[in-house]
Amino acid sequence: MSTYMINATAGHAEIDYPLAQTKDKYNGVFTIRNSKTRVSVSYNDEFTSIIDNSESDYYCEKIELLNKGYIKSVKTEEAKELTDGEKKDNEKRIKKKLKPLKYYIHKVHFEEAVPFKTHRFLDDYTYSLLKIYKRYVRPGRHFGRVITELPSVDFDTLKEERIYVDRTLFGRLINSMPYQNRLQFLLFIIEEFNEADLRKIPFSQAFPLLKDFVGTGIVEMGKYLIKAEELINDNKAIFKNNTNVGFAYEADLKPIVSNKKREKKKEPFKIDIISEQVELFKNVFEIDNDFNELFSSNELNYKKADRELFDKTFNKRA
Amino acid sequence: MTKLDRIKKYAETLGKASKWANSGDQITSIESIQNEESKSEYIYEFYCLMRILDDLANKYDIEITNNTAINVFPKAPASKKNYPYFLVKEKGTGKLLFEVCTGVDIKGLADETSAPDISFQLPQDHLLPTHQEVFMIFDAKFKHKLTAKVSDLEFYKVAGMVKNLACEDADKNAIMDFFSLAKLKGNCILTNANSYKSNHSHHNLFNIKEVEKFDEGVDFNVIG
Repeated sequence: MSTYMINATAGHAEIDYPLAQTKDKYNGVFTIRNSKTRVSVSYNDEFTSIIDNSESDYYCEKIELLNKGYIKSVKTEEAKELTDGEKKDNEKRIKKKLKPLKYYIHKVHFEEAVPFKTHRFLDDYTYSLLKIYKRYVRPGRHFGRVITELPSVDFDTLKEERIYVDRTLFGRLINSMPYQNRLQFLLFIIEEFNEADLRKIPFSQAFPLLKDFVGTGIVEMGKYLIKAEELINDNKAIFKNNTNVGFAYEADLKPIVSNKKREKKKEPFKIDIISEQVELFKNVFEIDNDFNELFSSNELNYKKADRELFDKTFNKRA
Repeated sequence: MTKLDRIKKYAETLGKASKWANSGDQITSIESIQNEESKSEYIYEFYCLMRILDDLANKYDIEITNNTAINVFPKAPASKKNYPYFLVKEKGTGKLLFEVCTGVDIKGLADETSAPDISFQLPQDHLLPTHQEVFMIFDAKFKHKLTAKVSDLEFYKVAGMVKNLACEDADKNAIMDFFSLAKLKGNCILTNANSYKSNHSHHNLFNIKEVEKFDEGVDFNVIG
């Protein structure tokens, strides 16, 4: 018995199920059309499915976990009529002296399917699945195929709707930082733990350092910028009422030309304006004023057993 | 929003704020813990500058000069002619008393250059300051750890600058007074963290004051 992720987005595995009955266990069918004579799933395999409802390609927040269940049966039939696209492809193949392809319709019947309850978006699991090992900004990329085999630990994670909280907090923070800061942090960690293999460092030990790094590095700078802007506004007379203040390297100082001229010349504008950055930091502080409180895993109802299981799973990769 | 959602949103907005909107440079450059010197300290330096100007504005009329449509300050030590500085005048009369400059190159006694983060200069009609115009200097030292101390290297570097720019007697000869920052009159190292030493005699010997905890919401302490 294997475990799979089925992509139920339009154009992949089209799903059909009784919409009215989605509270309890229900049956349904996936229809997959391709030029292969068989699909990889079979009776008794377990699956979870995703569906991308957005128009743009894999905007991760919109990829929903649709349901999870068991494969009941698979029936494959040859397609009697080809689509226009398939006909064109075959014409091209014939021109290249290749055999034209036959197309098949696979009906994958499932049963005992239930919807996801607590964590319904793929993005919630970005840092909880072994299968997602890179491209954390676009987790959907790992499930682009119609059917993707899932390691059984990943399947359990999705089935139980478990989140690896430590890694998620860590991952979200570290991947939000600019590239140079990420590198600096990695060197910082290696130095602190005297360990070059980062996977050997437990999150619980590294996390306080990351919080510190982000807090004193980035958040603190935001507070100074906000305060500096306040002092500028309190002392407008000093600035002859022009409170447009910024920073730049000597090499990036260009004669200040009007917007129109600048756009014509297509000059990169490298003068950084305090008030613009203050707005960005105010957005940050609006979400949360106490950085330390937000990133403490206290209120996250995180079971110790879950944490231990995740630690073990992810450390095995090392 | 669940807490997990809030964390996600926070990380996203923090990511945007952590890079300058125009240049794309990172806001902060954090060196390793062994080497506490932070490369891009200009934000903390500017904060210190604003606190000083805010204080001086109680006693003097201050005016920015050598600026353009945007008041652009340096991210690294630079030439005085390319950046604005501040004219400090007697209140009411407009008589020019002295200048406050940001991190500009100043030629010292033996022709070497120093670039203190903030310098107090005599009025001059050129833009190539030397030790003859400088009467007092401040240097800012931001530390990522609040428990950190100004290092010996950092302290003696400033001592070297003081000698190079011949402003040893700044505390006695400075032709100005602060308002509530009176204790800062003299060459100073401003830090958000802790001083190198707490030995007043030592600091007097080198003609440097250390101002520790120069930050928001805390009282600073002066040594020397």
